[in-house]
Amino acid sequence: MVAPSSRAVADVTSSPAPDLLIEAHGLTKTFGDFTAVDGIDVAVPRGEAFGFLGPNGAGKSSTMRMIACVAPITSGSLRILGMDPVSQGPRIRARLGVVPQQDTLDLELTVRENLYIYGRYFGMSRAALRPKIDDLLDFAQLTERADAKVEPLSGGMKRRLTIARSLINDPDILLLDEPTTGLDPQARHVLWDRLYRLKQQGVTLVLTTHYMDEAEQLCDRLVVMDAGRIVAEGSPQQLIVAHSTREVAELRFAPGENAAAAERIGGLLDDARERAEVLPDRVLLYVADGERALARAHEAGLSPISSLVRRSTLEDVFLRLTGRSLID
Amino acid sequence: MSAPTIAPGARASATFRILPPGMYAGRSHVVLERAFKVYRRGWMLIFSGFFEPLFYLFSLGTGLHNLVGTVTGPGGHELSYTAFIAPALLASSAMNGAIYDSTMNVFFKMKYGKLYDAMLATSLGPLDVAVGEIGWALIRGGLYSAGFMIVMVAMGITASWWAAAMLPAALLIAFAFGAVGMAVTTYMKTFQDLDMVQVAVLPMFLFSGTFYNLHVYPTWLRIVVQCLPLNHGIELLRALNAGVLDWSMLGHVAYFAVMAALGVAVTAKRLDKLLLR
Amino acid sequence: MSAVAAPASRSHLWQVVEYQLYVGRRIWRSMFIVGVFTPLAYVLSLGIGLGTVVNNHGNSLGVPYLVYVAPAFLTAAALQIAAADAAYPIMAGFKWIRTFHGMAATPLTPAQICDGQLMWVALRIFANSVVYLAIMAAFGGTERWWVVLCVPIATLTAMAFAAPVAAIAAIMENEGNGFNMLFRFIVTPMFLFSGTFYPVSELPEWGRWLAYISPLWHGTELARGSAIGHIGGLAVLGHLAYLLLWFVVGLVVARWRFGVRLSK
Repeated sequence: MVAPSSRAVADVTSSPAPDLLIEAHGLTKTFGDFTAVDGIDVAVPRGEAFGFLGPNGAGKSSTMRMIACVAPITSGSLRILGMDPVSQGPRIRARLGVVPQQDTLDLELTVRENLYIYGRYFGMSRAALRPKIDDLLDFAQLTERADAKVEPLSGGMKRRLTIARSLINDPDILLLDEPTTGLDPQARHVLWDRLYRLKQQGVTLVLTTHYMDEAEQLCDRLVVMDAGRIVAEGSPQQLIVAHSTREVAELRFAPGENAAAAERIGGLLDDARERAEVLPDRVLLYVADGERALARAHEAGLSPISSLVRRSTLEDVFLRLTGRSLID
Repeated sequence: MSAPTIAPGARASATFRILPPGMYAGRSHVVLERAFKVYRRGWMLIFSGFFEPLFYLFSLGTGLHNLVGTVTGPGGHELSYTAFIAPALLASSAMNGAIYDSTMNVFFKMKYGKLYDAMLATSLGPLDVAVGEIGWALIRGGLYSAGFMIVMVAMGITASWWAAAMLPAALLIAFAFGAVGMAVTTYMKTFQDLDMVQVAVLPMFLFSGTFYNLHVYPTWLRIVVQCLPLNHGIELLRALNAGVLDWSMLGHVAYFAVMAALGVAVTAKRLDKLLLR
Repeated sequence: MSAVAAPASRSHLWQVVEYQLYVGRRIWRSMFIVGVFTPLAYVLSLGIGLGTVVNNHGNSLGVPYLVYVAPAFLTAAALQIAAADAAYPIMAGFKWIRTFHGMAATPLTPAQICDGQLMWVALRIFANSVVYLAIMAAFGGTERWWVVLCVPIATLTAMAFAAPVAAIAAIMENEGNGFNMLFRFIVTPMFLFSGTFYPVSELPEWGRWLAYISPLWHGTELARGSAIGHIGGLAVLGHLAYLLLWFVVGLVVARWRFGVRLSK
């Protein structure tokens, strides 16, 4: 198959810090007065699936562009594969696979030609590319569309082609910027399946997302970004344990009554870790036992229009950490 | 580098140590390869571009023959009107073709297709992209020029063997215009900015002496026109076609060489700034 | 649109025109380049510059070369602009920005959308021709008052070609590469071989016949006739009839194809 699983063991001698493929300290990016990335520290070891989670404008894409060596850093230090992006940009880029936020497929070429020419950009030989392209077409489930133009493909197909294209050079790191944004649910699941396979094969994945379900599905470890800073770090599970409660009860009251209801409920909660959060359309109760909290609310004479109990997710972590919802 | 994934660019870039790191990976031919792939399907579009200067040549050469009479060409030779405008049309079409390729096409690829973003995410450098794109425009322009010259020979309006040198000269003209056109394009923001290209190119085509000698102009206008690049191209090709050579031709060549060098330098720098930031 | 249920009337045409005016406002610079800058360049370079050469060579045309070519330039420019305006915006209306599909969801009928679009082209051409005429006059390219007829003549000529182009635009499903061919192999040669720069009698037999077929030659003859006279009444009627034939056939096909395309 496509992915460079066998390589995971090999590359030890070449770089000063072989086990940390990405190492950033105080990484900063400013555009004029605007600070997009505000002094973040990141370290990604080989084989990890690492995520940047945050809302639009949190600085994820700027961070990704610096890691991809297509944007210079403003200050701090950054080493990719043990090399310096400024002086060794092309050498680093030769070993990266990049899936940008918006597809940059070559609309004047067919699916197969897109893979071929992209490989040629890396200086790969025609002979080496031929079998590789067939594998990648198969991986992206595009074999039947190989000779079709790119333009009429569905969003999900284009995205899979972009991912296949990014694998043409057997990259050491695969960078995915918002890989499934704008896709319908079914297409997202197909894509997650493909990415999950890569992960199983030991490819180092670095992705940004503002979907917590995506982060939970794919990431071994992630950082939550907000306004250019890292506000939390850990595995999805660790983050939930550290920053949220086990369960969440969602109660929906009539419009305008949510705040008043939340205040009354606040008095019913067990300990300091439990709390109520008012959103425009509903009240969230962060509690250890959701059913019990619901029962208590009913006992206290509150009657929500609807209610449900669920497990905490990264969305709740984000809400807790920033006071804002992920997708506004 | 002992990494099993070889960075094929590393070798090539070592040979280009003079340039800033990452500007050139020595693979501009790959950019050309892409163009061939694209246009293999659109050959009719390319083929059609060959006809425009021919239409001008046939129409004006034939129709104005009686109205204009003979025209004084290089070295004081009297030329038929067809023989007078033919080399100038060759120069003009070299300009037009190169400008079209390097402005409209490049603008689309840059702003809408995001083609260069994709290229620069690989180990290609901005100079690979610039040289490759300009190179493609040259190959295309060279084909048109060669075709036009064959027609000129068939019509018997080439006066000497020096006329063969019109081909490299036309390529130089195209190179210079293409490089400058691409540099200008990197400054464009909206689609409407492309209109300004027309503002520069149309008067140059009409006033640079394609259709008549510059002595019809008042002195000040003649001097202005003589500073414009197309006039240098027209003078150069006209002299080569007539086989009348003098040292001023080196000046024309130098003019285009400087234009080309400036154009490439600015383009590579701008691509670097625009796309790698 | 206020009167929702009102039957579509003539005034809907003007709503299509209004829309185009609104869009047009944003591209005034390109309109200036096409409407003023380009005519100036042609009049000065080929009318006056080349004219100097022709006039010095014992001009056999009976009038100064500028007076001879300017009405032809005006007509040719009108036709070229109309062709472009009928081609790309109509293709865009169907395919790229799909404005026509939006219009078709209102009480407008496809034929009205088609007519409105062409009406807009005609208005623009009329205005362009007025400007062109002023530029001609400013440089001494006019000799008598009849020359003002160049404006309606150029508009008719332009529409005689624009209507069939609109029909093609409504038929064409691909990305519009066909229009490149139209311009390279029809519009440009028409400009060059329709007696714009010289009488078609200077052309060999085959060239003359190409001119006779092209609507531009007929328009040029009429415009030149208005500018310098020497044209018979029968010839005028013949040229007018030929141009009207192109326009009517083009319009009928265009309306029909608009209907087909918008009912899909």
